[in-house]
Amino acid sequence: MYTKGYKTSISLLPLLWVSILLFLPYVLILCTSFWSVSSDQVLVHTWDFSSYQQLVTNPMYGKVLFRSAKIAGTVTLLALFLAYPLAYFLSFHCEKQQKWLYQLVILPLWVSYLVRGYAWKTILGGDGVLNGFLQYMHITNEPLEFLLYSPFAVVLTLTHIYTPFVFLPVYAALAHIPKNLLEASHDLGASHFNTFWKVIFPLSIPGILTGSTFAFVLTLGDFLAPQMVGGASGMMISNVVVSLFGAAYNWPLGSAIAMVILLLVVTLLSVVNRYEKKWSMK
Amino acid sequence: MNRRDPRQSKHLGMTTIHEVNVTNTPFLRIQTISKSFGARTVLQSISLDICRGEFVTILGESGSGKTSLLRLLAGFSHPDQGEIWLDGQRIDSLAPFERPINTVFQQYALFPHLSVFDNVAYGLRIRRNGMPKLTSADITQRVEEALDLVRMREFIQSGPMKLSGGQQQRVALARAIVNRPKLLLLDEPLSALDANLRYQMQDELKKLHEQLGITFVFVTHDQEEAMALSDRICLLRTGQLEQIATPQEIYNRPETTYVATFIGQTNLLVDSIQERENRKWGNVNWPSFIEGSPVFSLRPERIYFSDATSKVSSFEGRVLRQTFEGPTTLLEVQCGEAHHLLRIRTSSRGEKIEGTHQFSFDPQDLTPVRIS
Repeated sequence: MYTKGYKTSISLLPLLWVSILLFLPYVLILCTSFWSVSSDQVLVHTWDFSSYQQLVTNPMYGKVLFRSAKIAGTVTLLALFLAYPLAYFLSFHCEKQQKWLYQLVILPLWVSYLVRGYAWKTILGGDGVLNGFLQYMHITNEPLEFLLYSPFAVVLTLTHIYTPFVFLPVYAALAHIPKNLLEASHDLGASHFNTFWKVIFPLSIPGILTGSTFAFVLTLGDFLAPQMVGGASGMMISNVVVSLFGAAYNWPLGSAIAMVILLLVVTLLSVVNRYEKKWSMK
Repeated sequence: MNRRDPRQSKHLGMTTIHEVNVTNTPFLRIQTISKSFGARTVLQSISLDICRGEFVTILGESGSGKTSLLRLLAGFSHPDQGEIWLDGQRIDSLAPFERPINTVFQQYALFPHLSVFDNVAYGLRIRRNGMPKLTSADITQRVEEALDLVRMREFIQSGPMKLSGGQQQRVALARAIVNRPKLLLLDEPLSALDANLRYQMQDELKKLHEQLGITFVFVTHDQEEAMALSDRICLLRTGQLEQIATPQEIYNRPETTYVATFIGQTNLLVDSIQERENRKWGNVNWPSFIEGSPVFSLRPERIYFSDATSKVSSFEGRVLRQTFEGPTTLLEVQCGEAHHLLRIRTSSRGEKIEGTHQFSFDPQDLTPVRIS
């Protein structure tokens, strides 16, 4: 086996960057969340729960957090409904164009997030492509205002951005199902419908869970899309954190929100992890 | 062996005739089946009749079309031409889930997310069209019976991925037979197991076949396995049927040079006989029926040591090489003035054999074969 010296030297660098780049920041955020801000906008290093108290007493934070979770849930479901049939089609019914179509799905990931955000802004805006088209076709007489700067716009943009993140693990799960399992199922008398629900779907659940977690967690923490296309009604929890660290200068409250989100995400991940184990190979 | 197909080939002297006896229609009839994938023809006008309860092995090298034929029977692909009839029903255009056929796959193909019980119960819970629904008590009982048959009852709640290859294969077998199919297809089910386990499973398969009375179609590339298991062997070669006969017939009376050399070892006697060089082979009494037939097969173990005084077809040969095989020893012997090399199998203990010896054989063991 490996010598002790080798083990130490090989683990030094990873340990170093894990502590500096991951562990230290988390500890700092945790500490900050228990500090407070004095009336003259100075960070006071006293230890109390005042920030967490504010979180509970001011209904605004809960409301925005709930809205964020709702948007994240909607985006996850939409992405799943878009990605699953495509991944299914690609892995079972499309041998020739499989590689090509796969690349096509991945392609948007190479384009900057900002560019995609601005693209939606251009499409949904008051004098944007969609409104222009609707008016040209005389379907509407004036620009539809709800298209941009609304939760609808946020959901649309985020779904577009995070669908590939759902597609990839679902596709990987489906593509890894041995084809002879489908033949065995048909051989035992199961129709295509039965085979899907009894073999294909259960075996793709780990992929669905991974993909959904990606989409949900990433959406929950997103602040660029709401900032670009969300407006006031489409504001999400991360926007609140950004403003608390910026203009409002209330780092402790921002950190407290960050800790709450972190706790939510970690809980979610561990639950998902447990279910993934349950659904993987027996 | 009372389950013989009356349509087996019989040798009467030199000629081969097919005794056609259609008193009972065959259980499985494969009629002039052809299949190609693009420009590649994998099966060429195969016809084959199989009796109820028979154990038929489809034997062939890789690329012979044996797996393609099995897939046509299972319904995973459909023939370009020809018909398949099973128990009076035409099945070649039916989907796999509409056929009363079950398959044991080479790689077992157990459902990894289901327990052994759920794997075996899979077919019972679904049931094909028109079959009465089973109560869960019935299902449990039948699953347990099937697992008892393959001696896997104790693993009923296990996950299949935790089992060894041999155990998985037993579960796969139970999953297929629990549905009481009219036809059981086995696609090289033993090829992934190591030798000892393979022999044991061969034994169990044979017993299972006798117990259940289900018609088995077994695909393999292993000649010995085919010989050990089958009522009849159907030898395929590049998509064509080379010979179908009982193991005894196919070994003792191969019809072609390919069959003679593919199953077991043999000596193909060509020139020495055709050119009437028998004088140079000592006092071999070449039987009269050899005239007109170009090639003969003579199995190495049908040639014996004999003393010089022996009168029946004895000849002199010089031992060049010997290979110890355990129960037997294979000799390479040069004989006649044409320096013909013969392979001779003796049941010695492997002692060194050297020099010139007298050998003999029974002319009846000469089998005329077509060049193929």
